[in-house]
Amino acid sequence: MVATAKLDLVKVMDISVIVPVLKRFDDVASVYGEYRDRIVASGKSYEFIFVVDGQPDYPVSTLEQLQRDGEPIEIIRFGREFGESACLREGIRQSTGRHLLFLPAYFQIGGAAISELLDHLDEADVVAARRDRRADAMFNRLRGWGFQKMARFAGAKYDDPGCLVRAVHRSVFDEIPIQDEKQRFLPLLAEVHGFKVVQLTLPQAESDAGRPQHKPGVYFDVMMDLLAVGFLVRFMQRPFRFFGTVGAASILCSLALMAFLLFQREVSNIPLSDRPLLVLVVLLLVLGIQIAAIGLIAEIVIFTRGDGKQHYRVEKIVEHVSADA
Amino acid sequence: MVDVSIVVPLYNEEDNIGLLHEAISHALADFQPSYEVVLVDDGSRDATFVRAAEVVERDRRVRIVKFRGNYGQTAAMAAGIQNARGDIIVTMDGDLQNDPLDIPRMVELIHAGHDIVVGWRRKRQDGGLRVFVSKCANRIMARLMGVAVRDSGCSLKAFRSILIKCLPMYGEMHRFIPALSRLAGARLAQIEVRHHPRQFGVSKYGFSRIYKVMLDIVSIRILLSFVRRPMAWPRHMIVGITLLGLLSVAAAIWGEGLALPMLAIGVLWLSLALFLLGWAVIGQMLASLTGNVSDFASLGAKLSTQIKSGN
Repeated sequence: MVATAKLDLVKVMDISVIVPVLKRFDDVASVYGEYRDRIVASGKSYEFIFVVDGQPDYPVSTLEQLQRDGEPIEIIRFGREFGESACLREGIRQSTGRHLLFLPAYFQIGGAAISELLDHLDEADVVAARRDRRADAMFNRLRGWGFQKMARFAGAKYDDPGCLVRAVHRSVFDEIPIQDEKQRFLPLLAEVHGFKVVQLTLPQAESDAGRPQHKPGVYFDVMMDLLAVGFLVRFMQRPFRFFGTVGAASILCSLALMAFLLFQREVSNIPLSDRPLLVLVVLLLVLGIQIAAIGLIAEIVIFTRGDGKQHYRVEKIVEHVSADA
Repeated sequence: MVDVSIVVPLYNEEDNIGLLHEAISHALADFQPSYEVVLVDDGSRDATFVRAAEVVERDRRVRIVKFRGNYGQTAAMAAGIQNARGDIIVTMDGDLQNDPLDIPRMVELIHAGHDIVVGWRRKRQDGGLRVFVSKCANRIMARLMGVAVRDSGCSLKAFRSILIKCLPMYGEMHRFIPALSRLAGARLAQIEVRHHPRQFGVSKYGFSRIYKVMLDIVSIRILLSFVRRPMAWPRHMIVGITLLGLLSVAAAIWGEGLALPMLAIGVLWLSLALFLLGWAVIGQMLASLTGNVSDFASLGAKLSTQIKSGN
């Protein structure tokens, strides 16, 4: 006989599924049913956490009905709208699972793809999905492609930041707090922190293909997030490399323009003093110096405040330990 | 407690580790003080870590700090230095281009009262372009920073541990350690070291493009003057630009009639001076929010008292 003692006081689930219910949702009961069946099939223990962002017409009653029917659902409801990252943050705080699986409240990838995602859980700390867009509407594909190119330009290596489907090991969130809507770029951030990231290409759900997705205003927000993340990843350590380059470019422009003006004075005898273009020369110069000064202030901020936070992650230290220790 | 810690950052150096360990053991065999070796595996993708672990099995003086990912040479050095236990810390490359036989001489110089000893690869065994770029960078650095270090790219350096543990290490700061330590009033010595051509593998930590080094020099230079007097770092610029602005305004008024473009230019300059003044105040604010800056400035005093008590 082998006796095993269970010491867990709180039952630790294998997977906590966190579903933020935002503006866009399908019939929640069928979404839940589909996801649950797949996870049950994988044989892992699970819990579902629905985080409902506060809007009166969101399907809370359906969820409550499911909960009364004995499904393992937890519902968190916000009093007013706080946005996606707040939903995820709250969901993570409530969850107990070893792995966190983020799913949208609508079908973004096919149900079968969930099983595939679950198969890769143990290979990496973050498993990110990208949608196979072959079946998508023309406009959506074009937009997805454009966004991807922009993301590449900003330094993001992972495609399809708009795809919410991700499986993340709990330890990742000890180091990367979810904030400012940067969760779209979680795979990239995780990689910068030294976690192992795997990207899977999964078939897109039929109902996700072909429908318009966002309002135009969203694009601008996402672009700003993208820039912020790209900047952080590349120039966090050396902000002056960025600002200094931009400032130097501006100063060089101004000097080139000045040379042109001087040339005109010498050759065509146009007096320098009453040329409005001279103002532009000085303006560019002033702008260049200002941008560079911002970079220097950023350096000073990092110098004075950055010491507490180490910018590298030690995995382990190997050494001899003396026998009496 | 050990006397000397040797910190070696490694990135994809599986062929070199065994040789490196032999070279160090050989060079320090007749060396009196006790030593330890801290190998830092900077997220290598080959068998570097496995080989290094084998070395640890054989030699209890060796330790490995393994990074989770690749964070670059400065980070690797910083981690090694933080984990070193010796009173004197020696850094060197893991590619066998530096020779551990130089270490005893460097340690002696430190015992003789220097705080930092920098190697100078007089006969460099690298490609011509590499050497040329590096020479240019060194010239510029010596001129701008006021530290006459002939070869700041040489990794073989020895420091008093109290000094190096107080210096900021991020970005590519390791290049500027001599300049930074001069600020703290450290006594710097320079010796010629041997340099060997590469035996295995390719150069990993490439020389960055020269404009990046120049940008770094500007920022370090400003940081240095910031640490000395937090509010005064843009003072030369502020004075110069204010004068320029006043001159422009004067010229605009004194001419026949009001010269509008000139006036606009004058006002622009004056506004820039105001902005810089604002930044200076922000600098002062940041300095008074953290104790770091004054710590750094008092490092020099700490060093000199250490030496007095040591004697």
